Amino acid sequence: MDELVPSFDENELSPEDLEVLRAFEEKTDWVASDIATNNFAVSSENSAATEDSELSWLAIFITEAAEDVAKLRHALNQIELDTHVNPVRFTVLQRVAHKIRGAAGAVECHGMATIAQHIELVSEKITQGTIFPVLALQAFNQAVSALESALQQLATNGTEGSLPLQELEDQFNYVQTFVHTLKSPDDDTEAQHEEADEEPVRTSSRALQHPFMPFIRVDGRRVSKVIHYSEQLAELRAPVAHAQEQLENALQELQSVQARLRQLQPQLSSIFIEQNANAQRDDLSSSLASRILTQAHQTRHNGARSESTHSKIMTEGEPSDPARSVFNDELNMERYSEQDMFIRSLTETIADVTMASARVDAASTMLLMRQQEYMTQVASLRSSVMLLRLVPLKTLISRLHRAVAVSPLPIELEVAGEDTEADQSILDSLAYPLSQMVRTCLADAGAILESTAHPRVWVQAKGAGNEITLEIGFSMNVNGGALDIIREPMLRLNGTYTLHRNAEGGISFLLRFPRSHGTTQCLVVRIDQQILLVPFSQVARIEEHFEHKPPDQLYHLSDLLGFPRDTQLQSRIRPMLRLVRNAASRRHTGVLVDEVLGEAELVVKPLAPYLQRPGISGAAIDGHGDVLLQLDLPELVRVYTQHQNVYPQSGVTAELPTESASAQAKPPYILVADDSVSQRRSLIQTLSHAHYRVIEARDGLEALEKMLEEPPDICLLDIEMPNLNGFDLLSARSGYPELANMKVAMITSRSSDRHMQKARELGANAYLIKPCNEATLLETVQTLLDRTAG
Amino acid sequence: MSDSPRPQDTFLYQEHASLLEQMSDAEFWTYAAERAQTVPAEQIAHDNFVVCDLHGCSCLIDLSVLRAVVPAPPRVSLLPLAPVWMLGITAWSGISLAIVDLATYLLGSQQKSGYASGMLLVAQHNEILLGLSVPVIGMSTSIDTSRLLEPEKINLGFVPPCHEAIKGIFMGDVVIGMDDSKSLVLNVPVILTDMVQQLRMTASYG
Repeated sequence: MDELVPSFDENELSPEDLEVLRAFEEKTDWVASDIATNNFAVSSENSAATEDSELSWLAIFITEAAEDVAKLRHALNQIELDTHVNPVRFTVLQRVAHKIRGAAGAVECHGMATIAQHIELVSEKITQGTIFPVLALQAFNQAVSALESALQQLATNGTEGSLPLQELEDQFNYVQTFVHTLKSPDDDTEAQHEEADEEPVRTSSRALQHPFMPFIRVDGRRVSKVIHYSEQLAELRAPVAHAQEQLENALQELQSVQARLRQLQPQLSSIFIEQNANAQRDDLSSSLASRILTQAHQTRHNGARSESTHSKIMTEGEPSDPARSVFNDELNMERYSEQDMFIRSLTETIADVTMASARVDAASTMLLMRQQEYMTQVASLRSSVMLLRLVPLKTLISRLHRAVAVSPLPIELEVAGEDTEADQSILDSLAYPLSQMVRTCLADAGAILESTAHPRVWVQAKGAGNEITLEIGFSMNVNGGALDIIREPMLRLNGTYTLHRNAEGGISFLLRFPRSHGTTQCLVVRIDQQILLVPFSQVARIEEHFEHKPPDQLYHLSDLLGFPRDTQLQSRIRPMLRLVRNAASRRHTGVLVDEVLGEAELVVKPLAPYLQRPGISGAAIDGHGDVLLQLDLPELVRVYTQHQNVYPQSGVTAELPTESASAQAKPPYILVADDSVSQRRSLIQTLSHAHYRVIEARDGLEALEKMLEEPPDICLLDIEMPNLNGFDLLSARSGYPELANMKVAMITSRSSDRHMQKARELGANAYLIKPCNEATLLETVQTLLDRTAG
Repeated sequence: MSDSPRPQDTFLYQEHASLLEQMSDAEFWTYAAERAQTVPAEQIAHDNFVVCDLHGCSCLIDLSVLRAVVPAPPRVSLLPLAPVWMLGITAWSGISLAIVDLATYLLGSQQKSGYASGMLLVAQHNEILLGLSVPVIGMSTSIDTSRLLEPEKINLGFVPPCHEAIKGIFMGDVVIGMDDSKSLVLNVPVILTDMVQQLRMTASYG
């Protein structure tokens, strides 16, 4: 195969593909020709024949397109395995896409034709080298997925649907590089084009993680600050180096003085030895001759001393040794014995050591000061770099504006706090899910207009510390399915989402997510020998065990994690972390730890996928090189209570409110949530006759409110409901520990495996398909109740 | 043929160089011609292994899968829902590294070993990076992997945790002082993959 970059020529299609394409083009020509020559007579026979012909062409197209899409997928897999960019592979993509475009256009599948055109354009760009390979690969994958989706819809429903193309274009809008590829003369997205020109370039979060990171635009003033702090940091290097040098010099000086001190040590030793020897010799001079000689010497010595009181030199050996007489200094200068010399040297050296030590102290203090200045500057620089990545939320909110604008409803999005700033990558990762969420909520325009003439939608953003709170509110009932869309993106960001009924009677979604990636402020706690981190945002306050009202639920962190407890501390009062309460929840939750060690600001990173555990949101490495796990306490509590009883071990139970005996004897309580009145009435009647206590909810939001008022034993949930559908409710349940023990049975007309699988993954305990006979319903309820009792 | 001694081995060591230097020109060229005409013996595969003593069981681990051999850390952080052979997590080169007790994993002990001791072998296979805690390691050694016996042919005294965890059995002394008439050559990539799979399963099912 020719490895040079080939330019694409339609004639390079394989003969078979060329034949197919020509056939589709001729089919188009036949129709046009008939219309032009007025041979197209509208009659029932002709229209039936035409329809059959169209269906035949469609069937042929679907078969051909399926093969071609498979070829595209295969080519993409090959590209992903390549270690370098191979232009030949992109030509293959271009060829196949060209064929699909021609054929799709001929059978009036314009959505698929447009998607294929995008693939051709991206192939051209990459062979020309005008686009990063990683972006192109991402675009190819998205486009091929869109083709597959459209083809599936075409095969199933007979029409391709507009959603695949729409979603693809939304995804492409992430990367502004593609904006111009989307524009065709007939496209009515000029407004988007203008808006795209005004917005700074954004990148998708996935692209940012790739080594080939595209460019991003940043605020020039912030770049100036970064440069300024960098320059100041560079200026501090010289003083730090100088202080280091001063310290090194002082240390060297100290070392040399210490060396001199060490040199004096042998002299000291010899002097002591001499003195000892002299003393011994004195002791040994006991013989008469020695005494006589000594006496004579002393007499002479005293005589010499009287002549010169200042001249006295102690010679080596003994002063009584006649052979060693005192040296007479005729000039009367001071005479120093060796011992005196040594003492003087020692004194001087000790003084030098003292001075050198002082210099070392001073130099060390100066170095410490310079280092502190340096670290302060580093912190400033780091903050300014983090700020570079912050952009106003209006970049995200503009997407929500568009989502509201495309709705047929007469709504204008009301916005507050759009100047709140957050990390670009975080906003990018939320832009598509949130716009999809708004579209989903407003999808049933007819029902909305029936309920209210003046629907309102608003967005309110606030930032506090490293946390952003975003409220998306609707003044009316909306279509369910919103939580399903935002669940995964919020989990990836370590964010939380809740919802409640707002003052307008509609539903508000409250999202909390970090302002930026980077350090997290955490509480450092200990259980037994383990040190762990708890994000500040999860803890309302720390109490020394029930300072305030006792919590409704109390756990020990060791039990939540399954770690061994410190048995020696059983009777000791432990600190309790009172968790931040969910807005709609009425329960207070407390978690006991062995010790609160303090707080820390650390960089928390996710664990490897195989090490991820429920309730562990990441890990940080502290200054000692130890790994500290960061906990998600609400998630830990939820998982724990799903497997355990709510109340912990004895010793603590006595201090918690217990259920009264009469409350425990109540019949089982079942909540029925369905938007169909007749369905609700039928279920209520069946269950009431079976002596269950039953309550109803008309939509998902009302169901959640009633669950929180009094958690039912069992909840029968329909899937399709306003505000929150059944899947949304299953997702929302995870944010409320008091609902952890509630059993959920889906009761729905959706019978596909996909729906059942999804319900199972979200934690549903049973799945009933409408119409459901009474016996099956009652048997299921009884089974679930038996499991709860067990 | 000359009477000069001739190097017997293929590899040129110092003594061989000396022998060659002692040869006359004629002897040298005769020798060279003979070597050129000699059909080379099949290249014997010699891989380098590090010897580990897992509570009396001698094991060999291919050096090519090891990133580092370091002293075991004094402390580890426990991970919830972990298998019994997983000791915890420690930091290595700025990343969180899971430490597993190789002896407990391989030999099937149900008791947790407690903190890591001995040495830590940081092993990598594709994206998987795990720390294998072993009580004792010996020197590295080179063995002929073509001479390995199949594990099925010998009674190991325990059931391996997964199929193909043991690549083969090497019969012979690898370390003086160890009773190591046989040594297990471990298939570390397979072991790492199995460990990761079990770690994932315990996260889901406890």
